[in-house]
Amino acid sequence: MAMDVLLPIFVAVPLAASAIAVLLPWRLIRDILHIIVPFAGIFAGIWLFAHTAEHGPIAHNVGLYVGGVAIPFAADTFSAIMLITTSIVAVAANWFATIVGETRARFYPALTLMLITGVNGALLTADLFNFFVFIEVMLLPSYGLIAMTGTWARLASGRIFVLVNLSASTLLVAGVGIVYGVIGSVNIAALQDVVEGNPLVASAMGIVVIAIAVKAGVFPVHTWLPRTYPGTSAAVMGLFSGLHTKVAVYMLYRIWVHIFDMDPTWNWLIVAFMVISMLVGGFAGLAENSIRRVLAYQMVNGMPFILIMMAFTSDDPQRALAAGLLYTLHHMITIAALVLTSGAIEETYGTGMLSKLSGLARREPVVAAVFAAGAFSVVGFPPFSGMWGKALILLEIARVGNIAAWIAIAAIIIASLGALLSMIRVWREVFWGGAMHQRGVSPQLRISPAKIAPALSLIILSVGMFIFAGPLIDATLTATDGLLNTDAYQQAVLGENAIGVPSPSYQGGN
Amino acid sequence: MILALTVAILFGGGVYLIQQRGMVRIVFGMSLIGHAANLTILYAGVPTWRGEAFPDRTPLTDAADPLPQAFVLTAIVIAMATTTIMLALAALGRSDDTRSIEPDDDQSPLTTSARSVTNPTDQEDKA
Repeated sequence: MAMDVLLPIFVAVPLAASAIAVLLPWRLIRDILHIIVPFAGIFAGIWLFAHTAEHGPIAHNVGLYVGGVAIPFAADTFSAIMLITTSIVAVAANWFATIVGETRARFYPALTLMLITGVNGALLTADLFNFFVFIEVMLLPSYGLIAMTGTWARLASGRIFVLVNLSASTLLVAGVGIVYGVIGSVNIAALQDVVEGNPLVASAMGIVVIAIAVKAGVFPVHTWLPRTYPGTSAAVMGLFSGLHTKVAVYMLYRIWVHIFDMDPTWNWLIVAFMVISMLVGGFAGLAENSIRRVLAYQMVNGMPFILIMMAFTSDDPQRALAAGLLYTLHHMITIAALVLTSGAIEETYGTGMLSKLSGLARREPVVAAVFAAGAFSVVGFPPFSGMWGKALILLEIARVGNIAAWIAIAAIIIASLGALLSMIRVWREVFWGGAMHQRGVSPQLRISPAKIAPALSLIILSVGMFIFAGPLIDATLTATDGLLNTDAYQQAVLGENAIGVPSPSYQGGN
Repeated sequence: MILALTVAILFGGGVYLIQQRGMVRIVFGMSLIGHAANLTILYAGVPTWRGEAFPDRTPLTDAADPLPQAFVLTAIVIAMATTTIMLALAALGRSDDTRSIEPDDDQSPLTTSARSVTNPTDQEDKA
């Protein structure tokens, strides 16, 4: 039996589990279900990684239609490593949600499972229109989750979140339609290298890329992110931080390698936007008033570090993209850990406002240590995953060594300094200062160990990613090797006798 | 040409409506933009009038391209679901979209922070 028939299972299992979670009347079983399904996803992802590393990319056409007109699922080592990491973040966020009582809302587990369905589907699809469909599968439960719990502001955040994402999705589907109109296919494998010398397709793909950039939260379309994520509860923000934006990053990498063929024409454009984006993200956090608002700007700060690597692929694309991928994995783990730490503080002390918290370093040594570790990691200090992430990005940019590279390196260092200042500000306001019981807080009140356990596990994982950087970097190199092996991907998706594939000389138009 | 003009009018109307303050108007605006996008997709695949996409009834040279129609069908279903969610959001809470009565985050009556603690911190000094 060929292994490719197992690919739709990555979508089918969480989807079925979501339906079961709607029906089950027992909270305990629902809680177990929404943790165990992503937990199984970690091991399924590891199996997929091992399999694709050994045998090359695999693909399955639903209904066994011929390549080019089928609904394709495809996996290479790059999608496998993203599957593993999104599953890890989902496990931690759902574990935290269960502990703090978020799952008292009956449909919470069902919605998170549906969200995981969409993420797995978006990571495994080889078709732009199906990518849109799975993005919607991912977003519809998110619309529910974001307005489910949180402060009063969640209703306003919910509206912004729905409207921004709906506008971006509409733009995405219109872009996909125009791509189909000009070139006659939306299959990523069939669209391989069509942009070069074909301005019509370049403009159509540009619409798609802009729509995905909105979802990735990069300048100038980042403003929705820090205004919506902090309004919802910490468990939901932890889930979103690891899943939503990173799916967009994954797709931008895939489009860049497969469809744009890493065309250096666009390098300056990428560098310009990413440099502004990282500076805005680095320093805007200084003006925010709650822990999670600062963290939301750390997300805006982190995303361009990943995406700027697309502009420095001319010398050694495998290592450049691997550096970006390593930073992606680190960023997902670290931001989720920080958000869940903030969640543990909020769920115990009733507020995440910087002005209302102080002196936590004496009261809560473990929580303070976890937060400090996360702050070190997100800024890029050892002994945490962020150090290798940033070091490799800088080394790979320096390898190219042109003017854009030096501008990018300078911006990364200045933006990291901004991130450091933001984190120091949170540390000073929340963890230093006078004791809380002077402000009417009971001296016995403590954050229970169960609440900090999910964040602690993620930070231990981050330390592990620092210590075992060798095998991890090898894994990211294997992953980007799979991503760059576009011919094998095309072969796997389209098969022997594909139809509807645009010929290389076709210039499009009706 | 008429199709392109229709798309332009729908898009313009949608953009105007989502700049209004009330959520229900924004919902209408998003619906118009959704229709504009759907017509764009249709236009991408069906530049002129074509027959139905059934090979036994229409010769393949005259048949329409079924794929954009399938795209649009999927997009319409998704747009309907999101419209429902947005209408639910419009009905939630008070009439805050026309009057701004937003309390601070930390004094919110709907706050769910610290729900797992028996003695929340901030409640005492407010009460």
